[in-house]
Amino acid sequence: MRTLIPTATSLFAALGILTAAPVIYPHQVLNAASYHAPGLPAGSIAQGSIFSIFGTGLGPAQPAQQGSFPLTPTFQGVSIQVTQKTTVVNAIPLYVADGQINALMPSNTPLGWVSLRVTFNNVKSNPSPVFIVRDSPGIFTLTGTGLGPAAIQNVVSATERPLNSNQASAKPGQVVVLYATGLGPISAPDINAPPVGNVSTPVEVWVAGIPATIAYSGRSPCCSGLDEVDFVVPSNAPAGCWVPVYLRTSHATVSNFTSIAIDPSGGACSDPSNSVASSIVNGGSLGLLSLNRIAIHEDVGVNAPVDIINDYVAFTATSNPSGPFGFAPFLSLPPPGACTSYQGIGDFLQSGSVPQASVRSLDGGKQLSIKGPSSQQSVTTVGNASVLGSYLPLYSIPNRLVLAPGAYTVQTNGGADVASFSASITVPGALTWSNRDQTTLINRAQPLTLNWSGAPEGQPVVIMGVGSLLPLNSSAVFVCVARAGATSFVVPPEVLAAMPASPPNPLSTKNVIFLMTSSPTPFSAQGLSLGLAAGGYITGKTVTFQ
Amino acid sequence: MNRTRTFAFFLLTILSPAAVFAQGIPIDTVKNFVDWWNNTFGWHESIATLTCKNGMYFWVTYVIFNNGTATDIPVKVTPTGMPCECKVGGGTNALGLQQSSLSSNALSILLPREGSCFSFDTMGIDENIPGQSASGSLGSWGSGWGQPLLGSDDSAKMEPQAAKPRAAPPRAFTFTEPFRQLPAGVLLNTVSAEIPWVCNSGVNPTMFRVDHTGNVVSRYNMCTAAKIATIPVQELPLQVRVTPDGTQAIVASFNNGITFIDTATNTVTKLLQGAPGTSPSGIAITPDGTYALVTNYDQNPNSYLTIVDIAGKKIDGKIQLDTDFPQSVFISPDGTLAWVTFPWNNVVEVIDILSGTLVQFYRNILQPESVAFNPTGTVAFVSAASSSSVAVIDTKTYSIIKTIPAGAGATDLQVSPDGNFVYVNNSAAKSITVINTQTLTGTTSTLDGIPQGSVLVPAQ
Repeated sequence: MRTLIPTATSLFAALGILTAAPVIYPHQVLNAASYHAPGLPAGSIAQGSIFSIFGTGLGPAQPAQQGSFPLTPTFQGVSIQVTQKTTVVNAIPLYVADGQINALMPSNTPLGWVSLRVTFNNVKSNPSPVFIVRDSPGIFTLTGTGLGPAAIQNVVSATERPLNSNQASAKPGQVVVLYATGLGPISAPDINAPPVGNVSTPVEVWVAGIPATIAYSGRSPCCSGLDEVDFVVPSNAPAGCWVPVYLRTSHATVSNFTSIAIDPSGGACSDPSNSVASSIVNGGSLGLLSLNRIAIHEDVGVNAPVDIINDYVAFTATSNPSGPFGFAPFLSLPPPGACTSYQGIGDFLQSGSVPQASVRSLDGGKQLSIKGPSSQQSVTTVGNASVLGSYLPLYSIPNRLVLAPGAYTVQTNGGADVASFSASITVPGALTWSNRDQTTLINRAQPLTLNWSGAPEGQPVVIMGVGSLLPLNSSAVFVCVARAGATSFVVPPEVLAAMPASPPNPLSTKNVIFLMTSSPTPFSAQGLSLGLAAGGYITGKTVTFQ
Repeated sequence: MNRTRTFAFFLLTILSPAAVFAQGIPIDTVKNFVDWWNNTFGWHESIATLTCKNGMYFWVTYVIFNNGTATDIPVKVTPTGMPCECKVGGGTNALGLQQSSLSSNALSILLPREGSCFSFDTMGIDENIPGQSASGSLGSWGSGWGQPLLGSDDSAKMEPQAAKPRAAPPRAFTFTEPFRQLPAGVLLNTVSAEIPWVCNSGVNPTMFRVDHTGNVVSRYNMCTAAKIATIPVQELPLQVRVTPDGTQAIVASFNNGITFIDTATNTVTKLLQGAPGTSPSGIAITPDGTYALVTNYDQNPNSYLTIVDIAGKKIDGKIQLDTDFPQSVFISPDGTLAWVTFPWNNVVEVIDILSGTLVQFYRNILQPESVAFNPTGTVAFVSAASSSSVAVIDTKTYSIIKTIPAGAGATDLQVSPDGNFVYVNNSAAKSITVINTQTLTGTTSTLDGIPQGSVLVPAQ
């Protein structure tokens, strides 16, 4: 399975920029499976784990990989020094390239802050501070982003273990093997093939929020630093193409949220709850058009509560490649009743983005004409969305909102890939978040119950929490899908645990929970295999994650 | 029909459109009001906190530090309790000056340090914390007029002299609570004229300032501008910072002193001193409040950063520097790097705090005074007083993205809490420059007074 490592990271290799001396980029010493940013709950590096270093000039132009035991601390001219005061250990380079190194953090690395430097051809890099912990799990993914389909084998027999994919689902009750890293140190030398046996670290697995029975959690005998967790897919796990799977170690640290395809047939998965699933699994061109009103109740870090409302129009058109591991963040939603989580670089509420495997943007035009009950407006979109109007009830600022609940028609001018089209959209009214004002200080170790009323009949409510840790330029988000007709949802603590704790300084963080509903309608346009238009009313509130 | 699919729209709407949230409206000028204030109180420090229109008080975001004596901040308290009067309705004030046009974006006031200008011996620094017991800090540095003339080409060419140059106060500011960029904040398609000033009495912000020759630190209520405490400290104080939890202010004094002040009682709790001749200058506190770094303004081998254990109130070590006369130090938002300015040598060095290793250096920024960061730490701004500009640096590659013209004596830097704007004091040019961080362009407005020092003060 070691081949997964360069596979998963090859997308990043192209990021390297040739320079003379090795340079480690800021905050770019990461768990090699999850790529969780430092500062996020699973963003530290575990003893005995595989980690990645991103930068430039870190290694040879031609990537190389250690292929035999015992592993050596210097490989292709690359060595890695890890220093804490007078203690120095050498991390073991496993895969070296100009823009990336994958390496093994020795099991005897001192805990706490260490300073890591790469030496390539006798030239030292800049130091990079790294926080070492005993365990910090990351699940390898087949998208190479730390999100989406996990590196999982369905155990059919002792010799038949196909990779789990949207064409080869796991059956409820079936044993599967999940590959990860960061379960904790071992006592045997890391340079040799690891011994078989459970690590001492307590490990838990959830599938769609359902605890799974674990048969084995320890090193994979093939590879240093590579852990495998053998578990039974819960018999009551829901079917779907992107059923959330995640780990927790020591009852404390939650891994990246990945997915597994589950179907009673064991064959191709289906996701009847998600109509865009076919475009992601089978490929195709997808157009998404929406009119949204987003109202946020701000009562954290402000002098007095205030409600800020913005009206947006959003239009995206993408071409999604087909493939057994197709996945698109925010489109490959979990089954109703379940939650998933994404992490990434940047401030998600301003300029950050969730890592995503390649999809091609289509030109569907930038000019949109929106005609509503009492207004008509033409806009040129910037990026995926544009603001239509805003209201801040302070300082006598005039109300410039335009998306009152009602029926709207949106006309596009078309572009090189997608022809002009017209779509009808109904913007719904707000739902009532009945315990909104009580949802302020969120204890991540406790379940979070959210109650509401007024959701349109038959429509589920989606809950999303966003947390941005500005000083570390990283963010996390959780997304839960309530079942249609539900009026409450309990976000489990293991999902909340993926969110970064809010630092004391409110300038350093932004945390918001959103509840949202929608009213979708399909539309047709030349150049799109699927078009969906929807209006939404999104209710948000600032919170603090404790 | 199941509607789960459509939620993708919302998620994309909320999370993807960077450009949308990046829209901001610059505070383009506060010149007129500041000028009016300077004309009125021109003989001493000036403060501009309000402007008026249509009978309403409006928010003005700047305080100008005029040349003069070190007196208290002038305050003209109106019946409303505001430190100025609403002069007239309409577009001009009583002096016939055009009203300031302000935006909604920066919920802050910029305030100057207090102290004497043109004095080689008098330097000041402000440090703002919200309320007697609230957390947060704003720091600023003093005059810099003891330096070679700001804006002079000759000054940029000056070499270190045999005699030890005076420690010139740098101009840096940090802020913590209670500023906050409102998530998905309001986006105004059309600029609203002025934003009314509302003194945030709930926050009750306060500010510390250093009186260099008076050997005291004074504390002011930023709503009333009243001095609320005068705290004697070690001789020749230069900079003051407040810990992130707001409980302590720490002062660097050039005459061998690092003074701890309990902000609850405004009393000195500890004085740290090094070997005779130690000359603390700049100070920065790590974001977690664990350590303070203090520059020792001297030649090698006495050019170093002192590491101060804040909880233990003790000196915990030092980081040797390889350039003489480090003036100020600024810590990156993630707390890993110390950016040290050496204006006397036109050098900026970036130090890895954990290892004490030099990571990067710049020898082409003329008289670097201040460093400020965007909230995510991906961009650093360095003011270059002698080249009248601000260097914009990508902290990933350490490359200078752009050099933005400012004014002569570009010194103090403030980044708005949302990261969309950088405010630059141009001391020698008597102007301010507002840099739009999206377009990396600046707009400069001239002033009658000399802007020296600024802090962000909360409102709303």
